[in-house]
Amino acid sequence: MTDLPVAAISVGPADPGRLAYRFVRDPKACAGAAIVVLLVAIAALAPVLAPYPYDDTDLLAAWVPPSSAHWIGTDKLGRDILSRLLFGARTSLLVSVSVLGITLTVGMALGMLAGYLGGWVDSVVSRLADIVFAFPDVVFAILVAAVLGPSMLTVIVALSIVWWPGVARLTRALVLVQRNETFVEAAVVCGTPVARILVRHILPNIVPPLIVRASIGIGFIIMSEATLSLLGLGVQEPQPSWGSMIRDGLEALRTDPYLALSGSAMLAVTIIGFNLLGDGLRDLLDPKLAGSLR
Amino acid sequence: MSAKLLEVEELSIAFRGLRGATEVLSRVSFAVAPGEIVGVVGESGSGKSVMALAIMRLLGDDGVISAGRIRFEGRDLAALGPADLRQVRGRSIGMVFQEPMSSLNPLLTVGYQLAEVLATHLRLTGVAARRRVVELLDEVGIASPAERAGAYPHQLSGGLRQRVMIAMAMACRPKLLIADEPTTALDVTIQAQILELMRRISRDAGTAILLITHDMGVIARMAERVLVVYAGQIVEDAPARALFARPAHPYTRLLLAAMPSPRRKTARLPVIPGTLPAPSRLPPGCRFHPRCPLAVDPCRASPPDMIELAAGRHTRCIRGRELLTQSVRGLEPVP
Repeated sequence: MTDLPVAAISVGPADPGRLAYRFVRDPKACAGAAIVVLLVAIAALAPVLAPYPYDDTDLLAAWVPPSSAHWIGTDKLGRDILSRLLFGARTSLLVSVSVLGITLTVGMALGMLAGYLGGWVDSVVSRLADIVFAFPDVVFAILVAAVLGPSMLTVIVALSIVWWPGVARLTRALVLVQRNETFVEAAVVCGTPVARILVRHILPNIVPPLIVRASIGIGFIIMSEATLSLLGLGVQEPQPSWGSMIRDGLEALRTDPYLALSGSAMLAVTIIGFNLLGDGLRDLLDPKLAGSLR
Repeated sequence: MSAKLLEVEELSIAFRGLRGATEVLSRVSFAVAPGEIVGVVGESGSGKSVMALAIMRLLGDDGVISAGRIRFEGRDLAALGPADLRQVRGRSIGMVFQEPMSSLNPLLTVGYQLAEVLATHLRLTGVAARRRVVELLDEVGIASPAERAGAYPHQLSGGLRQRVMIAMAMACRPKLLIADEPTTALDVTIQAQILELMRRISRDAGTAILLITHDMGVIARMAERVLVVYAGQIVEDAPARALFARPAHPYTRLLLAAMPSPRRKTARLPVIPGTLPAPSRLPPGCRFHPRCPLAVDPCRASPPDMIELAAGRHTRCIRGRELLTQSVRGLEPVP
């Protein structure tokens, strides 16, 4: 506790030990982290954990309710729902990590150039982003998916196109603030090359808000993936995706609700987990909030 | 005449705004000789910092050089391409800013930031760079330089940070150091140390200094020659000794009269009545005439030119010669 006033006024690089300590003291952040870790473990260990292969059909045992053989029951083709949920975590994480990787790379690069160089570079990047922003996210993704045809790659491409402008815009705004810092000007008058200024002087100072953005964004990406799959534009059978499982379950919602409900529950818990983690990271990394935590 | 290091000729700078361009610096000419310490003094908003930014090509998107030329070692700085510009910045011209608190990147050690300059311009890396960093820190009077090289900026005091900034600016032994209010943010005892340091470095390395300040005391300590700037113009250009002995412009004279002095017995410090005119609303005639106790009709009618009173002594006052040769009534400090 004694280190708190210091934490509030310190402007130096954060001490990892102190950050970890503050993170552990935040129950919501811990819950979020636990959910995310669990999810990653499920995705990694799906073949071991799942009682059946995800594509093992048994038409004689279609739509069976939960039992000791099938804990959450089976779907219309008699496939074990639990196994498909576990493998579905792989789909969600694969898509979201790919989209995040692409959008962070492209968005940060373009955002930094736009923010630092200004002029026509800024105009081009900002107008491109505006075009994407002009459409509702999912509508635009549906448009792209419809053009490319349904597949997991389509989902990744479509969501990347929808997501990079947000990252670019945030990065650009952060760079605009940093660009006017005296230490950046000092680096300029020392003749430091632009690339070096961007990577060594500006980037480290804008990373924390981007980490927060990424962790909250991942929940939205997983939901968007589910939405596209729900609409039949995403991951194709027999690959399991929570979105397409919910779609299949909706047909039989009144008689056999387990499929739709369990898929939705996984989706909800995952998104809540990433959002809690993101909130926790924001509280941790935002210098303005650092002193007001307790 | 010795060869000039920096020559500024008829330089005008304007900032584009919503209602057209506003000229903030008008036809400024001066030169800096190698190794010379030139002081630029003026009120806040007089245009002295813009001058420094223009030399460093840091005016930003809205500031433009509307006329004139800045030549450094005979080369036109405004015409340099990006690569040549980077060569000049840091290598030939160093710069020290007003705020040592924010001039260093909080996430990098000061040693790293110094080494970066060495790597950029001198291709010095590894052990050689580390050794040079420690040397440079030692040179600017930082105790236990080897340890301090590993410190982050927030672990250093303002005075130490300004020393680091000077070490950075001097790392490549530039021919010219531009110091924009280098001591304004520091307390008085540290100020004296930093000024002494700059003077020593200038002498040892033969670096010319363009020292920009609003503090006549700093100018008196440091400068060999003084440029007095008022409302975007140089109003007096004279050797420091001569200027302090007998200013040839009423503005300079009033500035000097407004300096606190332990010898003066009056309770209140004299002030110059009025305020600096905004660059968009300059008075006709001499820009200083509304505040000038010596103003006569011609001052209100037409803007005065720079007149040469003696070798190296210039004033932008039609009564400058009078000021120099006889005692002029009306300039007694306002109590």
